[in-house]
Amino acid sequence: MVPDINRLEWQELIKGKIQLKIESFSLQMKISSLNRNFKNGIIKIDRAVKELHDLCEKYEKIYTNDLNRIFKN
Amino acid sequence: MKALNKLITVDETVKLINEKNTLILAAEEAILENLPKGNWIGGTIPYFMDEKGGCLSKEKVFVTDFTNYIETSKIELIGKTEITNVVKGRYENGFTFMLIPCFSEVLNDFAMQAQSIEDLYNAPLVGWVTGIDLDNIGKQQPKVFNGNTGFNSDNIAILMHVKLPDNKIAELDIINIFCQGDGDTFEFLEDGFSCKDCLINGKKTNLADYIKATGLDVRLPIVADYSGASINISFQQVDEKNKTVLFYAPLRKNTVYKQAKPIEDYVKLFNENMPKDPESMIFSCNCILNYLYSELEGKTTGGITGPITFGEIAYVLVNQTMVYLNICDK
Repeated sequence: MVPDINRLEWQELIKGKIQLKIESFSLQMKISSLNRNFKNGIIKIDRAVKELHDLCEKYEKIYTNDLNRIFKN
Repeated sequence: MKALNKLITVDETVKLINEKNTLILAAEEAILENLPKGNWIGGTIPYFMDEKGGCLSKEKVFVTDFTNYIETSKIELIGKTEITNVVKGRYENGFTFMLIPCFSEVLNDFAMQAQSIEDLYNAPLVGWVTGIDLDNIGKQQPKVFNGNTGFNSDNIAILMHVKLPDNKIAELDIINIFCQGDGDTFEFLEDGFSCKDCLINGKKTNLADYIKATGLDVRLPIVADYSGASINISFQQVDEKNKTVLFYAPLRKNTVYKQAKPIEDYVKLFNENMPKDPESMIFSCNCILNYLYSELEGKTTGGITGPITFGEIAYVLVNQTMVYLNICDK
């Protein structure tokens, strides 16, 4: 199950505060895109978190290992 | 079950088309324009990674057959002014396969604008840049074909949107054996395919002068780190007279690049980075620059087959990278 959208780690991922080697290519590219758009003021944090959470729900099986490592607790 | 993803004869290809299979075809222009109409899209290229190794073939067709994996598909043509619409027609559960001609305005526009396409990463956008025999550059144009109608073009992107059954999901991945080296950092002052001055270790420098002075090996791409994904930009030409360097994919400002670490044995490193589950792979392609610089003619790459292309699409345009698509259980 994908961790709750209110977990702080979602915001930290978008702000580049989690230094973890992500394995899934599409997740790497999505986080990088959100990170860049957030830094440039193109997207607000709530919208970015929602987009990332929605993608992880859609591809939960593919992202399982990455999600387990990001959300350790 | 492993998908049909191999180099076959024209007669075998015609049989698959007449059986109403859903196909992606790669071959010389003279072959594609004489194939029967059917549910296929095609792109020109004569270079392939076959089961027996890298080769040039002007007689055969590289066929990727999606028929047994998909629920339905639809073909769409996209022109240069509509390039940000490439994912609008896709299915909720599926992927989009794109062929786009090299040396075209539509490719330039896609490469420049792809990163700003809304919802780009919500489903795989995979494909390749069509090409020609390297000996014919300047004499012939790479093309794409719509098998439904027979239409072909050198300045249109052709898409096949594919819908998967509910119990399946598509995953796009890459094998990029290049990673950032430990050398100087490069930052570019604007987005684009060419560069005069850039920031090298933070200091404004002419890139062409720097390459000449340092003897930089331009066979090695510069690499950016996208949250762990290494994205290559390959050198196309160093124009010393005009002090300009041209690239095969767009440089991005506000992005830190480093030149790739040198590679001693491409095939050995490639085999060490093989995907864990190659049985799920239904398509792959690799770059003509890897084929040339790593001398892949006659050499195999871990049993992975596909067209050798003038650029690879993995959501965005990438260079010197193997791109592949898996279909997995949900």
